[in-house]
Amino acid sequence: MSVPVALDDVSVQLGGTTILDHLSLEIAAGTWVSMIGPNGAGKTTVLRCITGAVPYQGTVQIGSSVVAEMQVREVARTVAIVPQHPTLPEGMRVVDYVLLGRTPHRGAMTSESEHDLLLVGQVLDALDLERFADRDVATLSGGELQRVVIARALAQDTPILLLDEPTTGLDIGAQQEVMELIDRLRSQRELTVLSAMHDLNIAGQFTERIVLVSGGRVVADGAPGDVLTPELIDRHYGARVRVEQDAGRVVVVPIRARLEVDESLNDSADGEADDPADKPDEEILDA
Amino acid sequence: MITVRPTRMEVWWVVGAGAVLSITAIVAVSFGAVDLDIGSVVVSIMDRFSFVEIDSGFTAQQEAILWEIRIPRVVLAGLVGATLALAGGAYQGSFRNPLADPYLLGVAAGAGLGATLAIAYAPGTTMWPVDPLPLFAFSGGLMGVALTYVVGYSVRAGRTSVTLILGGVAVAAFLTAAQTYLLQREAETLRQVYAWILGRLSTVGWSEVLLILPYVVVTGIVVIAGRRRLDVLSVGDEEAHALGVDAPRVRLVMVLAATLGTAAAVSVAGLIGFVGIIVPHAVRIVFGTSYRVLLPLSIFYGAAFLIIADLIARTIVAPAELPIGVVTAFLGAPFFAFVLRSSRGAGV
Ligand SMILES: Nc1ncnc2c1ncn2[C@@H]1O[C@H](COP(=O)(O)OP(=O)(O)O)[C@@H](O)[C@H]1O
Ligand SMILES: [Mg+2]
Repeated sequence: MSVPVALDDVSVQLGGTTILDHLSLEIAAGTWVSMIGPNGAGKTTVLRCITGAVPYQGTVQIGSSVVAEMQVREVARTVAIVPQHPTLPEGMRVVDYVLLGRTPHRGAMTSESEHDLLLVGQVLDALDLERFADRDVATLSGGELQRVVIARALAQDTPILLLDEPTTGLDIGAQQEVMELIDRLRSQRELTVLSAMHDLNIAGQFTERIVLVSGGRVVADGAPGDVLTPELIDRHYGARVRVEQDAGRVVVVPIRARLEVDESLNDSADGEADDPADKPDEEILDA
Repeated sequence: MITVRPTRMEVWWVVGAGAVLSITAIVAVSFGAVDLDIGSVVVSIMDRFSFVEIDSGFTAQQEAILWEIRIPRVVLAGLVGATLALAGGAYQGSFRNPLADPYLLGVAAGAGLGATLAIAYAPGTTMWPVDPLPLFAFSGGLMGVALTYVVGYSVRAGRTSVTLILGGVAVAAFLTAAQTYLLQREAETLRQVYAWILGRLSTVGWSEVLLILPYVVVTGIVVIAGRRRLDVLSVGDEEAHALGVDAPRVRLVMVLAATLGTAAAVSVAGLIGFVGIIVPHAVRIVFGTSYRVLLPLSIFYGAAFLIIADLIARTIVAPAELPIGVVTAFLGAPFFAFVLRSSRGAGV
């Protein structure tokens, strides 16, 4: 049962400044959309609007329901979020943490059911987390923790999954692992996924559609090849990049302004990179 | 697939806590100005609570000491200790702050001020349909915690658990100063109220027990019913919201309930510090941090702790009596320092 998400003309003001500016965005049921944009663009705020954690003007709909008219608990049964910086309760075991995901499915005063325990067991199994079940969440590594937080969101058993920069701070292997995991879960469970992404390449490799948010607006929306262009990235990130194609996927390569000039002076760039005369300069600049 | 074993209350943890409390209580009723034989005490209690007539061998006077002085006092100490420990645990979970405690949050000082006002200015208690003391104490306690919250969380940058406690210290000092001013103005009530400042459990008969019992029961039911919600609050308000829990509402209900119990305790026992911090933390160290385990066990161990503290208070300098607040502070301050030292995370 896939459920679509739609933000229609959503604006958010916080502390006197406009954070989202008449933003509209629709995500078709069962699709995975990446949201990119520079720091402070409003990506996290978009996700917070969908869970109803921040006051906004405009409408947010999940399926045919308007979020503002739903009970907190009802929303939590439809949308799960993996926050960028989850709060880790001191001394809580991984199983208890993942079981928190079952909260919206039971009454305030009832214990977890056999079904809850079974489902959490399946989730731990699917995410290869069994051996961490009794560990204190505070002792996990970055990649392990990210999987545990995703496990809690999956235990929520919702048709919509929001992820806030799920790969930030992970090493390159863990990044790919987490993204493959999300992709697998998405197709297995027919989830609708919206992920805020920091890494443009990962966004381009894993999702068919990318939305570029900047200054609280959607400034580009489309296939990776249409959004990840040197012009758009320069304009919104102030970064110089070269965009290449690799097996049908877009690859974004950041380049240093000065090196680019060097390169244009020497057509055969390959040998030049190893020139010892260049190295001291580079190292000084890097330091 | 693995079998998922969540943290749950184990039956034998409750049985053990019940046993500790029972033994503590029986020992405490046996010792005092006149020592009673423990075996006979047990027999006398069984006699009252069963249909079988058993002779404890006590004289009428010994029976009177046991039933009109010792047992009411131990029951009162148990109720007050259980309530303060439970309230401490509830405040810690609500504010996600390991140092929260009725005493440190200004609740006790506010309740003390309210109670002083009631004694100094409320006309004879017979004029009121209910005893105004707990009501005044409750209003004062609520005002205390509300002020602390406002002062502690008005800090914009670097808001941590310490700022809340600093707010509590300031509020408690202010409310205590107001109380002292009142005491000086109303010299007549001075002696009666002075006992509170250090905390004291002196009672003859069951009137105090009956006075606070309804409030304590309400507090117990509400806080225990909400224990699972406090575990959800431990991930912070925003994530709790994403899990379907309205954190501000849970916090409000918990703080109201904890303050009601604290005010009732303060209105009969005065300002007894540190129980709300020592007991939940000791339970946390032994049984883990989950509130579903911590809160019920705090009731038992809080009761046992204050019964022991009261036993020490009334026997160590016999025939004189030490204020019980002195005993809990003497045991509690070093423990508090220990908790402060070992608290990691949670912004401490
Ligand atoms: N409570 C708040 N008060 C004022 N400004 C805020 C608040 N929360 C976020 N902002 C601002 O909103 C902007 C967008 O934030 P965010 O959605 O977190 O961006 P992103 O996730 O794209 O980095 C930032 O400039 C941030 O400083
Ligand atoms: Mg963000």
